[in-house]
Amino acid sequence: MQQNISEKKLYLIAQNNYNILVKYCSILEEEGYWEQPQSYLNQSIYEILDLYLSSCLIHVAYVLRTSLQENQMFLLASLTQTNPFEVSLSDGVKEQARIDAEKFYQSPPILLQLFGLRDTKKNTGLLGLFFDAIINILLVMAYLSAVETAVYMRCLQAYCSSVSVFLRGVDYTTTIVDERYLFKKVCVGDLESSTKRLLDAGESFGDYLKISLYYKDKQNINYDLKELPLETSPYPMKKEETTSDVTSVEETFEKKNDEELNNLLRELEELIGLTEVKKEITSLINLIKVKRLREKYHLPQLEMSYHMVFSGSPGTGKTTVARLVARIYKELGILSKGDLVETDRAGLVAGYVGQTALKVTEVVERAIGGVLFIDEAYALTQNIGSNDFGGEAIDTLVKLMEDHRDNLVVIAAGYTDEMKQFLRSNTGLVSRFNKFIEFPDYTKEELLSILDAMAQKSGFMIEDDAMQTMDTYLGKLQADQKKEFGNARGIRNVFEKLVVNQANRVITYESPTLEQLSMIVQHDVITLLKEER
Amino acid sequence: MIAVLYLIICFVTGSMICTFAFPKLKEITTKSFRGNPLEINKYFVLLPAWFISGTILVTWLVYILALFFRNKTQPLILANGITMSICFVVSMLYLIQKFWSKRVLKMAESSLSERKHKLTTSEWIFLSLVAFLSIQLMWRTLFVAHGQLYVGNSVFSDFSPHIGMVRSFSHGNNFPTNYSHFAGSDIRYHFMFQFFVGNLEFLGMRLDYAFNIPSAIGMISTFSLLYVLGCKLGGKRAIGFLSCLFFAFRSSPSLFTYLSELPKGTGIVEALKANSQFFSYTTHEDWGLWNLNVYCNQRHLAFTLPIMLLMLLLFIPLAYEGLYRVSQGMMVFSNKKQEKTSFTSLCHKIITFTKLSLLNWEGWKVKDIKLAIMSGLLIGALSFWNGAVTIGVLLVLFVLAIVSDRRLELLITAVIATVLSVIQSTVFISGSPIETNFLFGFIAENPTFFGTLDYIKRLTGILFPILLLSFLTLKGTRRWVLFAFLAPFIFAFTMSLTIDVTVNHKYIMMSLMLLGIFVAIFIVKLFENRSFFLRFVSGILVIMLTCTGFYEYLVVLKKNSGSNYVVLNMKDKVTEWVMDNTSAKDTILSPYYALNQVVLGGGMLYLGWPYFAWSAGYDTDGRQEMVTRMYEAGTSEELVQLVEQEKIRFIIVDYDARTSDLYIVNEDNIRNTYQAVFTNGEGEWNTTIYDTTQKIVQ
Repeated sequence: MQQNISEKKLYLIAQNNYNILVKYCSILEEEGYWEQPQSYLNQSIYEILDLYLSSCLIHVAYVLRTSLQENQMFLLASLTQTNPFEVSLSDGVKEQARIDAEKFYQSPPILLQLFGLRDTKKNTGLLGLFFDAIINILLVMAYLSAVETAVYMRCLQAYCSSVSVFLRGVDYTTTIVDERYLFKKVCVGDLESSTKRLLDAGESFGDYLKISLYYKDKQNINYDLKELPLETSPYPMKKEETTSDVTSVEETFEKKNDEELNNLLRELEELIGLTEVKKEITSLINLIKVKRLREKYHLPQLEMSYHMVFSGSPGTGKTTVARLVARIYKELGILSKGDLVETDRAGLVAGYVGQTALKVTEVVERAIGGVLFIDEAYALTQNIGSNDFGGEAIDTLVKLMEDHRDNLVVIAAGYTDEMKQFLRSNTGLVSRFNKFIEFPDYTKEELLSILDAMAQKSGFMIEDDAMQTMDTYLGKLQADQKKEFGNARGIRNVFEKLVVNQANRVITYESPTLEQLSMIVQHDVITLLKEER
Repeated sequence: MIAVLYLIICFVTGSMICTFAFPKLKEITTKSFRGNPLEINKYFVLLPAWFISGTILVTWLVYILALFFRNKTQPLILANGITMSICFVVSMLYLIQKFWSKRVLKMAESSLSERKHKLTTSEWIFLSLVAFLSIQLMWRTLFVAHGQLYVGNSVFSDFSPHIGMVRSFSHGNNFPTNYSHFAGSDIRYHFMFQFFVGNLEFLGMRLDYAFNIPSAIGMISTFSLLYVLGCKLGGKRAIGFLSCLFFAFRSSPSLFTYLSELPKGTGIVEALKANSQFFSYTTHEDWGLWNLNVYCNQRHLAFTLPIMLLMLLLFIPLAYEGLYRVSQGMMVFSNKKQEKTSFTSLCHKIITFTKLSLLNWEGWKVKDIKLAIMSGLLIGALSFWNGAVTIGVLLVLFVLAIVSDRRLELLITAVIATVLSVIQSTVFISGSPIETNFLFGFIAENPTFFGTLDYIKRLTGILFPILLLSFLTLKGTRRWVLFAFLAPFIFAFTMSLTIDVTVNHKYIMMSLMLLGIFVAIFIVKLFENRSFFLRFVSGILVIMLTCTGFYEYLVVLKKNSGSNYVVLNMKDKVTEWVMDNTSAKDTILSPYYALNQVVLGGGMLYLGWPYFAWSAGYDTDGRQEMVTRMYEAGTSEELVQLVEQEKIRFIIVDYDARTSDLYIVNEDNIRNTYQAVFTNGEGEWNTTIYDTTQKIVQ
């Protein structure tokens, strides 16, 4: 959880942790562990430390933000002794340096290997302590990036996973620092206290853990943050932000968010018909708002899924509502972008094994941060069992939904019965799509209102007689014909044809008046109905 | 683009060599072996001959030069540069010389007088079908899509060493050449086709195109030359077409056996639809050893068969000449000696035959030394493209030579081919290259006389009874040619060259391909009979001789469709790391990989999948033990000692190593001994590569 720590303090924490890393490296050097690697690497252990640390920081910084902020660049430029990738405040990280850093980040960490070797030989725990100091510095970078907790949590977890093979204990199935450890560390906000404890720590990682804030049998040791003996940074600091500054920024941000959210809710309300849908969406929003409030006050959280199934006939407003939901979720902080990516079976399923997974991944990656809207999703399950890759698409989708559960919402849409069948096809789907919203067909009155609204939006007026004729026509439509008619989509087609008929009529006038130009009359409707026949 | 240029240069060089060494090649399609007019388009022979012979010789030159420049950073660039320049210049000079020589006019005249034989409709259809079949099979079993390499289910096993070798050339400068599944030793595998593919990839052609284009051309060339050989032996186009049909859908009685074993009440169509495996009534038949899958699997077989067919087209006329001359002499003899008893007559016949044939100067004359030398070079050059084809051609030519004229030419050819093969074996293989043992019934499960007969019956069905009938209806030279075509077949059942019985199946396939011509001759004869019954019988025979093969062709397609592929990522991190950071000299200690991302990267494995190395003749037992000892080494000292002894450069620890049943990998020891230079993936699925030149302990 991100803390309200000033930038200055963050820099100091990073500097202290860097000094701890240097201290541990000097132990390795003194004990001769660097002699062999130096013979082929031709660099000092401190140069390698700087290279490794900087490459990790650059990697993390770019994962968190596509372009670096000044404070991030400052940390990169000032933290290490050698600044191996030559980061500067004026030029930032050059393209080639970024490539080199990424290459170095991808390569295995020799220092972790050496600490592991020393620990094996001397039965100590320097590897864990060294790694914890690196995590602290990466956390500083994460805090400076000012992104959401979930985002940098994922980034740090990915880093831990990538080096997990070098963090293994005697039994290779367990690691010294795992995902759970990291999670607790971030949630408890251990940055300052762990730095202090690292400064005092001996060589046992186990002892260090015992006095951590999240150790299950923790002792009543409280570090006063004000007393933290942080060393003075040799680098110029930015103006310190006060806690109240931060709070006011947050408040302003929240206010802005609320305004936007209200606008979106108003937009939803303005949609014609869909009373039940609106009710459902409003309830969902309320639920999310309360969840966030409970989160704020550290009350137990209810696990909830944001994925939904929109069922109903074509043209009943599913895509429109989904687009609004994406933006609402963004304002509620559930999604980072709030875009809607629309796809269907053709967009997800390919002809060969392996291709489908790639196709689905590609679509999901485009949708991350927003809503993935799968139209006629039931089509994915229609051929399962024969030589079809719809099943593969669903399996991949379920996996990716899990992988990106914090920043992706999937809305599956289609006819009600078929969608029920679709959910039954994969157990992973049922548990994730637990919100089922039914979009009923529009009533005759609602369709007329939609027609009227369309006309008004386009600068037309529909004569009462014309409306009456339309009313009669819609009333005569059978249920089957209505389905074919396609609800709102059908009424849009009707409107477009009416506009054409009106144009054909008005063109015969020598000098049409403004009223004539904007009025759709009964004659236009009758012409349409004749054409339909 | 450069790869395409390379192929063009191979083609042009081949045309130059063939025009120079085999000037009568263009006339070969005008007459049957018996001298009857044929009117087949000459390009049925010329195009395959030019391409295949050019490719084989040019690629050898590239390889030899690359070997010479092996200490340079990019030996293939130099080798290709020099070879392509030489071939280009020589081709130009040759063309200029041709153009300016006084023979230009003569050539023009002869070309004017030469009859142009256009393709008939049936030949167009035939060519379209074989092109479709060849291209379909090659691309069906190997292709790249969306950055993934798809290797077919029925071929992925053999493609493991093939892809490993190809990549070791295109990305690893494998000079001197090592076997990618048994690195750090000699090369006992005929690797030249893989070198050719690797070189095409090196020159910029995508891996699947580099594999499939030559393979498809090779296959089409085989069909084309077999068609001509069939026509020349039988004197009719129908015989050529039927020969190709029998070659494509070589059949055994397996389909009928399978149907007879179906439980009562099982629908035949349903059962055939449901089945997706090759039949299995002989050893490893379910591997697809006896159907079209062989040519998808062993691309170097279909690519080299055209040389065998070309040699037969060139040398069978000598047998006709020899036997004609001897038969003339024998006629004179029989007219004179009629009063003798039958036994004395037989003795005299044999003596006269020997005198007229073997002891007659006419039978040993050399009339075309260019033909002899170039044929020897081509056959000899094949031995590391496909050693079985070299042996197969020599066997057939040996039997033909007994009755041929100009026997010395054949002897020169055989000597050159043998010398070249010995040179190659000496250079590439340390120790004894092949251990030849007489072993009657070698390939059969029960190697007794009756056991072998039973095996042949299960393998070929009605083919041999028909061949016998065909033999009885034939006269003179064709009987001898049929006997010559049997030579590789007999060889497969009597000689063992490797411990793996399956290797001998190639000789059987070669013989059956050639013997199909005589079956075709008999069936066409039957069909030409006016009796409806005999025509009907001939139709039934064709169906019986192709139905198993045709069904298994459908199985090949079925096996290589949908989700049955082994899929490899062409841009995988491990693959790219191996390609960028290892060379053919870097032996990698790894789990027993068959086909995976490391193999795709061209990694030279200390011991890959043991079967591949074992069947190629390597001693895998010793290395299997060493793999276990190195992975399980308890201390750094032990590990370092073993690694230095076995000259291991990289050690891979991955999921396969961690979950192996054969050893318990001591990963901590490896991690605490050598620096990791590559790591990817999480937890058990992590792959880490350690560099043994970078120790982290003293």
